[in-house]
Amino acid sequence: MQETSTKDSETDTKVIDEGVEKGLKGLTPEKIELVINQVLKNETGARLKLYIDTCMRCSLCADACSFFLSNDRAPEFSPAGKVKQTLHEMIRLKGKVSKDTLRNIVRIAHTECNVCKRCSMYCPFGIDIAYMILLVRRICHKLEITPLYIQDTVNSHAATMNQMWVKEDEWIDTLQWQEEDAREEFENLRIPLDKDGADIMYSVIAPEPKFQAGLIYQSAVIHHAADINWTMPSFPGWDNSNMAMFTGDYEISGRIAKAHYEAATKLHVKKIVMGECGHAFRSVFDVGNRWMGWAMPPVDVIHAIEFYHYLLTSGRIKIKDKFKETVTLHDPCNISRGRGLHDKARELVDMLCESFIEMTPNKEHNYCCGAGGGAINCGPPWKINRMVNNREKADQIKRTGAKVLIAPCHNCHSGLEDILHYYDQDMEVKFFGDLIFNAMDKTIYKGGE
Amino acid sequence: MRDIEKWDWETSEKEILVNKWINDYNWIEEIKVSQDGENIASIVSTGEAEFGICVNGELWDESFEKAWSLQFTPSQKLVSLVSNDEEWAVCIDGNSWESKFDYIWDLKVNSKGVGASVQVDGKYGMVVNGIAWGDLFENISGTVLNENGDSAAVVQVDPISQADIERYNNGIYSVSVNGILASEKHTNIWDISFNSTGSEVAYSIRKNRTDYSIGRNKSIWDNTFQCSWKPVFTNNNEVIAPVRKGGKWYLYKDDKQLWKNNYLQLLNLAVSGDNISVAISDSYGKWSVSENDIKWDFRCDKIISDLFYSDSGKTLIALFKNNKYWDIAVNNKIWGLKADKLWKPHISDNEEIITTRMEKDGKYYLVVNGNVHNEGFEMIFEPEISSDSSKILLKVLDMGVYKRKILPLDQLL
Amino acid sequence: MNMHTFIDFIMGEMVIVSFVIFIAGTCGRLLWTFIHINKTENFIFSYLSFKYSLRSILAWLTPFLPVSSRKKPFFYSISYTFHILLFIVPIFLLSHITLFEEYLNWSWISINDTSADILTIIVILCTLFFVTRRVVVKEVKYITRTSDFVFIIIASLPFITGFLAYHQLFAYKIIMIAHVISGEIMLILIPFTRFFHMFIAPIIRAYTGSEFGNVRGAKDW
Ligand code: HEM
Ligand code: SF4
Ligand code: SF4
Repeated sequence: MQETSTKDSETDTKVIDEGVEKGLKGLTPEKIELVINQVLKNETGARLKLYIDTCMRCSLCADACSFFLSNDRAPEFSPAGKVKQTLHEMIRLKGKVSKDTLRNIVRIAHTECNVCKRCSMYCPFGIDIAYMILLVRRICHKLEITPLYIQDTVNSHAATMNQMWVKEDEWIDTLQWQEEDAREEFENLRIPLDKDGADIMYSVIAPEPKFQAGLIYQSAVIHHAADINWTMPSFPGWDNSNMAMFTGDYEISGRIAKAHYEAATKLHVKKIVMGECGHAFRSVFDVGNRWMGWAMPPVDVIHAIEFYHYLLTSGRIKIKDKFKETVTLHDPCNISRGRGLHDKARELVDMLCESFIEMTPNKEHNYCCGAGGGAINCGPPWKINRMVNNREKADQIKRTGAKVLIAPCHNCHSGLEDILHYYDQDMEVKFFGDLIFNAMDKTIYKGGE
Repeated sequence: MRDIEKWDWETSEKEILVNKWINDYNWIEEIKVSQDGENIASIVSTGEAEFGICVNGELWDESFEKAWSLQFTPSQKLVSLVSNDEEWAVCIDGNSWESKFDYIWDLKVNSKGVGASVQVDGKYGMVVNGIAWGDLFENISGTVLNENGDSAAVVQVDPISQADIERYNNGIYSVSVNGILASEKHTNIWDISFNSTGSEVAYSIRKNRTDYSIGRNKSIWDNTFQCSWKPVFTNNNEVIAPVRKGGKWYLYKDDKQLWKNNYLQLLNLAVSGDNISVAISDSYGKWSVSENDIKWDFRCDKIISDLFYSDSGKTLIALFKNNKYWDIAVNNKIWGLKADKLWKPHISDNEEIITTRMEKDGKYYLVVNGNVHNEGFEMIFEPEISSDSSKILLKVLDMGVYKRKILPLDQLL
Repeated sequence: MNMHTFIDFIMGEMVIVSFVIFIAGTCGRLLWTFIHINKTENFIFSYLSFKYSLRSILAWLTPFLPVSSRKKPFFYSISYTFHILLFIVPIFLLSHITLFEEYLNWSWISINDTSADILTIIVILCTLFFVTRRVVVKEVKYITRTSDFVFIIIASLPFITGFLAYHQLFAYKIIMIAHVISGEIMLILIPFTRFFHMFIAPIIRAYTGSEFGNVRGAKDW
């Protein structure tokens, strides 16, 4: 679908997604009923029962949801409203759900909720709507009606252990190429591959080698200047992203987390440092590990924000020139609501930029970029809907009046660029890495200084 | 083979100055040490986009535009992946293979030789001891090289266009053994194991989006599961594998349930003779070992990263992390190391000595039978035990000097 | 059974029966809930933290601390008032205390009748507000079911009948009986209906608070 210049104001509920359609074609009423009931019976427990039994249908969660706000408070987009149309429908009909209803359900669960958990903070009970939406996606996965593009991503994960069909040689070649290029900055710079016993394993998401190799260059320069004993794996497990956790393919999601942690233990590192991505952090820190039975990460993982914060406060990286233009900061859900890193992020901004304007609401209460939870990965058919459904975010950003928007997450980055473009806002989106790379003193840290 | 007896077990200390190299070259990369401790090597930068391999201070004749993945083989040969004029090769002790590739990676060495993954004109396969597979494929992953020099990998047989989920579901992956297709096509294939002679392979498959099973050569098990991990051959040529049913993990043998108990997780299958061990989780977030379905009593809360038997099968060792620290359990007994980094230990032939190295607060230490040697070093390489189990070969970097030390065990313990 | 023995029954044995059912049912359901969690999702316990559970519960008990409540001050004021009065009015009502004193010899401070009367009216107005909201606010209407109205009515009946009885409006006796019975019905229904939310609320809060605070280092209000 091509982007149009006229702005749609309503969500198109008639979008055709090939993956969904093909899946629906193969389904019989018996199969639908069987799968839904199996998942509900075998894969849920006390939590779901408590949520369902306790929800007072007060709709206090509604105002939390940017979909609801972006759609002029249409009740279909309220969190509890979405549960009503999806999970409740399945429970009410005891699994006897028609294909048309299923089509509706996939759309809602996959493209009209970012599983951002913001609503959990507005529900007086703290009911986890995102959990219920993910449960619906799990059912869709088992019915094989997951939207095409995100399913393709999961297929890539399963086959290559990375999100973007990056072949093993392409990955290494890219690292070596970035290493060579980055010798522009430091003639003896290295991206040490498979360095057994390094302190840190640096992991990224597959779109970096695929489309944004320059980010690997930048982070190599940062690691090198900070004199970090680091490494990157040349083998699968290097990609920390995980779309399977968003399609409900928990088996693949767990396998991805397993590969990631096994790469770290194979290299005997103390810590995993992750690039600026939020959903990947959620996967490694909070989701994939759980399916594997690792209650908490078996190897410590820290997000780039924590890492950069350490580099700057410890003096390993010195800032030469602060960034002049006024910036604002988008708090990615998965590391603010998901890890409480918003204060560190602000301290970083303070160390890096001269002028900062808060976006409100912020910190744990920030709105999702609209791309999260796998929404952007549902691909082109859903793009316009995603723009329409995210008007609130665009307004929120516009209100800051800033020229530069920092978004320390890949998903957010892409999602925000999309809405800025769609809503004709002239603003540049940057990673912290970009700012540090430009502002840093490019000399190598000598310990004891 | 490792003819340990022929190594020098007498000279108590030998030194090589690594410091000097740092001045001789633009930079040196990680130091690699041969198992006998006599040779140390590193990739070194000798000029702009020029790399050499430095062994005990001497450079190989040939220099390279790129070099990586330097390692010693069990027979003390030094291997690297090297490239000149955009062509890649394997270089062993300074001699590059005749066969050149567009890319080469995933270097594997064992007593029978050297193998790697290769790409030629966008097609993928493996090369073993200089000979590439006859057929190449669309893609390759999960390579294995066994002790007989057989190679196997998961290969993508058919090309696939972007987002063709239907074709993917129908199966485009297969197992290739020495370049010959050895399985049916499946949606996904992972974790290939050879049997002891290399005549058979077992592997984990996904039949469609939700059904997993175990494949053996061209056939697959009748049972389907919610998930499955790497299958392993027993000494009797049976296949065992952890499989998931009803949200729990079971151990299966030849398509039948083997262990009575189920677990929350089963990882790291280890087999020796009739004994089977697995790292298990029996309550959420708690890990232990089950040997023949009987649980050890220790529990750790992070991970069991390695589980393996000694050659004789008498000693079972688990490398694990509890709370913040790494530690080792030998036959259900914990050493109590509190290591920041810890490597897989060696076991002496008489099974009385178990040794490894660890890092603690930035220093590396030798560990023997759970005792941490008091001297800390800049780096320790894999320690070795003499065949009469009386001495330890310690290889360390200490203030820029490589030292090969022979330590009599009676002084250590 | 004549009128007197019936009234004696509903104000005597039936009160006890109601309390027994309420207490036993509540304990039973809570016990069952914990057993169910343990059986199906016992991983929850490994994330629960007393500190963060308490932090979350206290934050949400504090009026207008949660952002959610600040965004809807009107609604939350009413809801807080309603919930507080729901306990205060019946417990501190003089005529209730008198009954307790009569039968069990227990007594405690009471609110005077005029205040009680006003508070009762407030409760009734609150329930009227809840009903209206369910009809008028579109996102609430969208998810409302008939049972939600029934639920509010059941909760309001003891107050309405109590009000009528106090003012001796309509047939006092019948109203009085209706008042006692509706109170008992509500008590009995608590363990078996969504009234049980009062006991589940802290459990879900504790879990959400622990996941947010203990695992993810974030606030949940
Ligand atoms: C002390 C424990 C209690 C807690 C924490 C609690 C909490 C809540 C919450 C969070 C809501 C939804 C939002 C709202 O309307 O404010 C609610 C609604 C409600 N509660 Fe409670 N509640 C408690 C006790 C009770 C009791 C004892 C009753 C009555 C017998 C009751 C009756 C109601 C009613 C009728 C509503 C529905 C309002 C509507 O339909 O819009 N609650 N409660
Ligand atoms: S999880 Fe986020 S996107 Fe989904 S319903 Fe809740 S607030 Fe809306
Ligand atoms: S705020 Fe909570 S209780 Fe109210 S409708 Fe939403 S999920 Fe249900």
